Amino acid sequence: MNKWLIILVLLVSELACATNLRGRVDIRHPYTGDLYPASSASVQLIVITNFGLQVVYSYFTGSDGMYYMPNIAPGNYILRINNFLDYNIQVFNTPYQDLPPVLVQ
Amino acid sequence: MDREIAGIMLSFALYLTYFLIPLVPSILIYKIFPNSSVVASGSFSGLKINSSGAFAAYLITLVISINALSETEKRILEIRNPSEPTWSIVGRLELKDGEGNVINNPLLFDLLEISLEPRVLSSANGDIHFKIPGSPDGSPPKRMITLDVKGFGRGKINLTSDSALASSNIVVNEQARTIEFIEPIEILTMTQPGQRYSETNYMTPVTGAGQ
Repeated sequence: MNKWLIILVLLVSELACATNLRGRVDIRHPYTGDLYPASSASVQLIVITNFGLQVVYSYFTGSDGMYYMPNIAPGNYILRINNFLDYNIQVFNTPYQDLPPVLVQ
Repeated sequence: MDREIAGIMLSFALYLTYFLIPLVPSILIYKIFPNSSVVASGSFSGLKINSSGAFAAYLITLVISINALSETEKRILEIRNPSEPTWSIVGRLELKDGEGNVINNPLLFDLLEISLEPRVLSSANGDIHFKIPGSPDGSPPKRMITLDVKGFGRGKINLTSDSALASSNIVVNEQARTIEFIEPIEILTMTQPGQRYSETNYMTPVTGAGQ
Protein backbone atom coordinates (compact mmCIF):
# COMPACT_ATOMS: atom_id res chain seq x y z
CA MET A 1 0.00 0.00 0.00
CA ASN A 2 2.76 2.43 0.93
CA LYS A 3 4.60 1.56 -2.22
CA TRP A 4 1.61 2.57 -4.40
CA LEU A 5 1.13 5.73 -2.41
CA ILE A 6 4.75 6.71 -3.01
CA ILE A 7 4.38 6.05 -6.76
CA LEU A 8 1.19 8.12 -6.89
CA VAL A 9 2.85 11.04 -5.08
CA LEU A 10 5.81 10.87 -7.46
CA LEU A 11 3.49 10.88 -10.48
CA VAL A 12 1.49 13.83 -9.20
CA SER A 13 4.64 15.76 -8.41
CA GLU A 14 5.98 15.03 -11.90
CA LEU A 15 2.72 16.22 -13.51
CA ALA A 16 2.78 19.37 -11.45
CA CYS A 17 6.10 20.25 -13.06
CA ALA A 18 4.72 20.09 -16.63
CA THR A 19 2.81 22.84 -18.40
CA ASN A 20 0.57 22.75 -21.42
CA LEU A 21 1.56 25.73 -23.55
CA ARG A 22 -0.80 27.37 -26.01
CA GLY A 23 -0.40 30.33 -28.32
CA ARG A 24 -1.33 31.87 -31.64
CA VAL A 25 0.54 33.14 -34.67
CA ASP A 26 -1.03 36.02 -36.64
CA ILE A 27 -0.20 37.55 -39.98
CA ARG A 28 -1.04 40.99 -41.29
CA HIS A 29 -2.78 41.19 -44.67
CA PRO A 30 -0.36 42.93 -47.03
CA TYR A 31 -2.99 45.25 -48.51
CA THR A 32 -5.81 45.69 -46.03
CA GLY A 33 -3.68 45.64 -42.85
CA ASP A 34 -6.15 43.28 -41.19
CA LEU A 35 -4.91 40.56 -38.89
CA TYR A 36 -5.49 36.94 -39.78
CA PRO A 37 -4.32 33.60 -38.35
CA ALA A 38 -1.09 32.37 -39.88
CA SER A 39 -1.64 28.80 -40.98
CA SER A 40 1.24 26.37 -41.49
CA ALA A 41 3.60 28.55 -39.50
CA SER A 42 6.54 26.68 -38.00
CA VAL A 43 6.75 26.99 -34.21
CA GLN A 44 9.71 25.60 -32.28
CA LEU A 45 10.34 25.62 -28.57
CA ILE A 46 14.08 25.74 -27.96
CA VAL A 47 16.04 25.45 -24.76
CA ILE A 48 19.63 26.60 -24.27
CA THR A 49 21.79 23.87 -22.78
CA ASN A 50 25.48 23.51 -22.14
CA PHE A 51 25.68 21.69 -25.45
CA GLY A 52 23.98 24.45 -27.39
CA LEU A 53 20.42 24.86 -28.59
CA GLN A 54 18.04 21.94 -28.28
CA VAL A 55 14.59 21.82 -29.86
CA VAL A 56 12.12 20.67 -27.21
CA TYR A 57 8.96 20.74 -29.31
CA SER A 58 8.00 21.48 -32.91
CA TYR A 59 4.59 22.37 -34.24
CA PHE A 60 2.92 23.65 -37.42
CA THR A 61 -0.07 25.88 -36.88
CA GLY A 62 -3.45 24.97 -38.34
CA SER A 63 -5.93 27.22 -40.10
CA ASP A 64 -6.68 28.93 -36.78
CA GLY A 65 -3.02 29.88 -36.31
CA MET A 66 -2.91 28.10 -32.93
CA TYR A 67 -0.07 25.99 -31.58
CA TYR A 68 -0.14 23.57 -28.64
CA MET A 69 2.81 22.18 -26.72
CA PRO A 70 1.94 19.71 -23.94
CA ASN A 71 4.00 18.77 -20.90
CA ILE A 72 6.63 21.46 -21.10
CA ALA A 73 8.85 21.72 -18.05
CA PRO A 74 9.07 25.16 -16.40
CA GLY A 75 12.03 27.28 -17.37
CA ASN A 76 13.33 29.75 -19.90
CA TYR A 77 12.95 28.99 -23.59
CA ILE A 78 13.19 30.49 -27.01
CA LEU A 79 10.09 30.39 -29.16
CA ARG A 80 11.16 30.38 -32.81
CA ILE A 81 8.60 31.17 -35.52
CA ASN A 82 9.23 30.25 -39.15
CA ASN A 83 12.90 29.66 -38.34
CA PHE A 84 13.74 33.36 -38.10
CA LEU A 85 11.68 35.12 -35.45
CA ASP A 86 12.88 34.41 -31.89
CA TYR A 87 11.06 35.26 -28.67
CA ASN A 88 12.27 34.81 -25.11
CA ILE A 89 9.58 33.14 -23.04
CA GLN A 90 9.30 31.83 -19.52
CA VAL A 91 7.27 28.73 -18.78
CA PHE A 92 5.75 28.72 -15.31
CA ASN A 93 4.84 25.86 -13.06
CA THR A 94 1.14 25.91 -13.84
CA PRO A 95 -1.13 23.33 -15.52
CA TYR A 96 -1.87 25.61 -18.50
CA GLN A 97 -0.17 28.68 -19.86
CA ASP A 98 -1.30 30.98 -22.66
CA LEU A 99 1.49 32.79 -24.42
CA PRO A 100 0.81 36.22 -25.96
CA PRO A 101 0.17 36.05 -29.70
CA VAL A 102 2.99 36.43 -32.16
CA LEU A 103 2.77 38.61 -35.25
CA VAL A 104 4.46 37.60 -38.48
CA GLN A 105 4.56 40.50 -40.95
CA MET B 1 -12.01 56.44 -84.97
CA ASP B 2 -15.03 54.21 -84.59
CA ARG B 3 -14.96 51.16 -86.81
CA GLU B 4 -18.39 51.79 -88.32
CA ILE B 5 -17.74 55.47 -89.13
CA ALA B 6 -14.44 54.52 -90.76
CA GLY B 7 -16.28 51.92 -92.83
CA ILE B 8 -18.88 54.43 -94.02
CA MET B 9 -16.19 56.96 -94.99
CA LEU B 10 -14.25 54.33 -96.89
CA SER B 11 -17.42 53.25 -98.73
CA PHE B 12 -18.11 56.85 -99.72
CA ALA B 13 -14.52 57.24 -100.97
CA LEU B 14 -14.83 54.02 -102.95
CA TYR B 15 -18.02 55.11 -104.71
CA LEU B 16 -16.39 58.46 -105.50
CA THR B 17 -13.49 56.55 -107.01
CA TYR B 18 -15.97 54.45 -109.05
CA PHE B 19 -17.35 57.65 -110.56
CA LEU B 20 -14.15 59.73 -111.00
CA ILE B 21 -11.58 57.25 -112.29
CA PRO B 22 -13.44 56.41 -115.56
CA LEU B 23 -13.76 60.15 -116.22
CA VAL B 24 -9.99 60.51 -116.67
CA PRO B 25 -9.59 58.34 -119.81
CA SER B 26 -12.86 59.59 -121.29
CA ILE B 27 -11.77 63.24 -120.94
CA LEU B 28 -8.35 62.38 -122.37
CA ILE B 29 -9.93 60.65 -125.34
CA TYR B 30 -12.28 63.57 -125.88
CA LYS B 31 -9.40 66.11 -125.76
CA ILE B 32 -6.74 64.20 -127.69
CA PHE B 33 -8.92 62.39 -130.23
CA PRO B 34 -12.05 64.54 -130.61
CA ASN B 35 -12.92 62.91 -133.93
CA SER B 36 -12.19 59.28 -133.04
CA SER B 37 -15.10 56.87 -133.11
CA VAL B 38 -15.23 54.86 -129.88
CA VAL B 39 -18.32 52.67 -129.75
CA ALA B 40 -19.67 50.67 -126.84
CA SER B 41 -22.66 48.39 -127.27
CA GLY B 42 -24.12 45.48 -125.33
CA SER B 43 -25.96 44.92 -122.06
CA PHE B 44 -24.81 46.31 -118.70
CA SER B 45 -26.65 45.47 -115.48
CA GLY B 46 -29.74 44.46 -117.46
CA LEU B 47 -29.69 47.63 -119.62
CA LYS B 48 -28.99 47.63 -123.33
CA ILE B 49 -26.12 50.04 -124.07
CA ASN B 50 -25.34 51.58 -127.41
CA SER B 51 -23.13 54.69 -127.14
CA SER B 52 -20.20 56.29 -128.85
CA GLY B 53 -17.46 58.89 -128.33
CA ALA B 54 -16.18 59.97 -124.92
CA PHE B 55 -19.17 58.52 -123.06
CA ALA B 56 -18.45 55.10 -124.56
CA ALA B 57 -14.86 55.33 -123.30
CA TYR B 58 -16.24 56.28 -119.87
CA LEU B 59 -18.50 53.24 -119.84
CA ILE B 60 -15.72 50.86 -120.86
CA THR B 61 -13.39 52.15 -118.08
CA LEU B 62 -16.24 51.97 -115.59
CA VAL B 63 -16.87 48.29 -116.33
CA ILE B 64 -13.16 47.48 -115.99
CA SER B 65 -12.77 49.42 -112.71
CA ILE B 66 -15.84 47.77 -111.16
CA ASN B 67 -14.16 44.39 -111.41
CA ALA B 68 -10.92 45.78 -110.05
CA LEU B 69 -12.52 47.52 -107.06
CA SER B 70 -14.96 44.76 -106.08
CA GLU B 71 -12.34 43.15 -103.82
CA THR B 72 -11.77 46.47 -102.05
CA GLU B 73 -15.49 46.78 -101.46
CA LYS B 74 -15.57 43.38 -99.75
CA ARG B 75 -12.84 44.48 -97.34
CA ILE B 76 -14.71 47.67 -96.49
CA LEU B 77 -17.89 45.70 -95.80
CA GLU B 78 -15.92 43.50 -93.39
CA ILE B 79 -14.82 46.62 -91.52
CA ARG B 80 -18.37 47.95 -91.33
CA ASN B 81 -19.88 44.65 -90.26
CA PRO B 82 -17.25 42.67 -88.40
CA SER B 83 -18.04 39.05 -87.60
CA GLU B 84 -17.53 39.75 -83.83
CA PRO B 85 -18.65 43.30 -83.01
CA THR B 86 -17.29 44.68 -79.73
CA TRP B 87 -19.36 45.52 -76.65
CA SER B 88 -18.50 47.94 -73.87
CA ILE B 89 -18.56 46.82 -70.23
CA VAL B 90 -19.24 49.73 -67.89
CA GLY B 91 -19.30 49.37 -64.12
CA ARG B 92 -17.61 50.08 -60.83
CA LEU B 93 -15.54 47.80 -58.63
CA GLU B 94 -15.92 47.35 -54.89
CA LEU B 95 -13.40 45.57 -52.72
CA LYS B 96 -14.74 43.60 -49.75
CA ASP B 97 -13.17 41.58 -47.01
CA GLY B 98 -14.36 38.16 -45.87
CA GLU B 99 -17.02 39.69 -43.63
CA GLY B 100 -18.52 41.82 -46.37
CA ASN B 101 -16.98 45.12 -45.24
CA VAL B 102 -16.05 47.52 -48.04
CA ILE B 103 -12.32 48.22 -48.31
CA ASN B 104 -11.42 51.72 -49.49
CA ASN B 105 -7.94 51.40 -50.89
CA PRO B 106 -7.62 52.94 -54.38
CA LEU B 107 -4.09 51.55 -54.73
CA LEU B 108 -5.54 48.05 -55.00
CA PHE B 109 -7.20 48.93 -58.31
CA ASP B 110 -3.75 49.37 -59.82
CA LEU B 111 -3.27 45.65 -59.29
CA LEU B 112 -6.42 44.73 -61.17
CA GLU B 113 -6.14 42.43 -64.14
CA ILE B 114 -9.08 41.58 -66.33
CA SER B 115 -8.86 38.38 -68.26
CA LEU B 116 -11.05 36.66 -70.81
CA GLU B 117 -11.04 33.15 -72.14
CA PRO B 118 -9.85 33.27 -74.84
CA ARG B 119 -7.75 36.20 -73.71
CA VAL B 120 -8.24 39.37 -75.76
CA LEU B 121 -7.58 42.40 -73.54
CA SER B 122 -6.58 43.83 -70.19
CA SER B 123 -7.60 47.06 -68.48
CA ALA B 124 -7.49 48.43 -64.94
CA ASN B 125 -8.98 51.21 -62.81
CA GLY B 126 -11.65 51.70 -60.19
CA ASP B 127 -14.13 52.50 -62.97
CA ILE B 128 -13.87 49.83 -65.57
CA HIS B 129 -14.64 50.31 -69.24
CA PHE B 130 -13.42 47.76 -71.71
CA LYS B 131 -14.50 46.14 -74.93
CA ILE B 132 -15.00 42.46 -75.55
CA PRO B 133 -15.90 40.57 -78.71
CA GLY B 134 -19.62 39.98 -79.17
CA SER B 135 -21.39 36.98 -80.61
CA PRO B 136 -21.22 36.42 -84.37
CA ASP B 137 -24.96 37.11 -84.72
CA GLY B 138 -24.56 40.55 -83.14
CA SER B 139 -26.19 39.58 -79.84
CA PRO B 140 -24.46 40.36 -76.47
CA PRO B 141 -21.30 38.36 -75.78
CA LYS B 142 -21.62 35.02 -73.99
CA ARG B 143 -18.51 35.00 -71.83
CA MET B 144 -17.30 34.57 -68.28
CA ILE B 145 -15.07 37.50 -67.30
CA THR B 146 -12.67 37.18 -64.37
CA LEU B 147 -11.44 40.26 -62.54
CA ASP B 148 -8.30 39.36 -60.62
CA VAL B 149 -6.66 41.69 -58.11
CA LYS B 150 -3.33 39.97 -57.58
CA GLY B 151 -2.71 38.94 -53.99
CA PHE B 152 -6.11 40.19 -52.84
CA GLY B 153 -8.93 38.31 -54.51
CA ARG B 154 -11.08 37.99 -57.58
CA GLY B 155 -14.55 38.62 -58.92
CA LYS B 156 -16.44 37.20 -61.85
CA ILE B 157 -18.81 38.68 -64.42
CA ASN B 158 -21.11 35.99 -65.72
CA LEU B 159 -22.45 36.73 -69.18
CA THR B 160 -22.65 33.13 -70.27
CA SER B 161 -26.44 32.88 -70.52
CA ASP B 162 -29.48 34.95 -71.40
CA SER B 163 -30.71 34.67 -67.82
CA ALA B 164 -27.43 36.12 -66.55
CA LEU B 165 -27.78 39.05 -68.95
CA ALA B 166 -31.37 39.58 -67.80
CA SER B 167 -30.19 40.22 -64.24
CA SER B 168 -31.58 43.35 -62.59
CA ASN B 169 -28.00 44.52 -62.00
CA ILE B 170 -27.24 44.59 -65.73
CA VAL B 171 -28.50 47.03 -68.35
CA VAL B 172 -27.96 45.78 -71.89
CA ASN B 173 -28.15 48.38 -74.66
CA GLU B 174 -28.09 46.54 -77.99
CA GLN B 175 -28.09 49.79 -80.01
CA ALA B 176 -25.04 51.26 -78.27
CA ARG B 177 -23.60 47.77 -77.64
CA THR B 178 -22.99 48.36 -73.96
CA ILE B 179 -23.44 46.18 -70.90
CA GLU B 180 -23.63 48.38 -67.83
CA PHE B 181 -23.58 47.26 -64.22
CA ILE B 182 -25.74 49.22 -61.81
CA GLU B 183 -24.30 47.80 -58.59
CA PRO B 184 -20.53 47.54 -58.01
CA ILE B 185 -18.91 44.33 -59.11
CA GLU B 186 -17.66 42.68 -55.94
CA ILE B 187 -14.09 41.50 -55.60
CA LEU B 188 -13.80 39.21 -52.60
CA THR B 189 -10.64 38.67 -50.64
CA MET B 190 -9.24 35.15 -50.62
CA THR B 191 -9.28 34.97 -46.81
CA GLN B 192 -12.15 33.02 -45.29
CA PRO B 193 -14.82 34.92 -43.34
CA GLY B 194 -14.82 35.04 -39.56
CA GLN B 195 -11.08 34.66 -39.16
CA ARG B 196 -10.06 38.25 -38.74
CA TYR B 197 -8.60 39.16 -35.36
CA SER B 198 -8.64 42.45 -33.52
CA GLU B 199 -5.45 44.31 -32.66
CA THR B 200 -3.75 42.96 -29.58
CA ASN B 201 -0.46 43.14 -27.71
CA TYR B 202 2.02 40.96 -29.46
CA MET B 203 5.25 39.59 -28.11
CA THR B 204 8.34 41.50 -29.13
CA PRO B 205 10.81 39.37 -31.07
CA VAL B 206 14.42 39.15 -29.98
CA THR B 207 16.26 39.06 -33.24
CA GLY B 208 18.95 36.46 -33.26
CA ALA B 209 18.34 35.33 -29.67
CA GLY B 210 18.86 31.77 -30.66
CA GLN B 211 21.95 32.36 -32.81
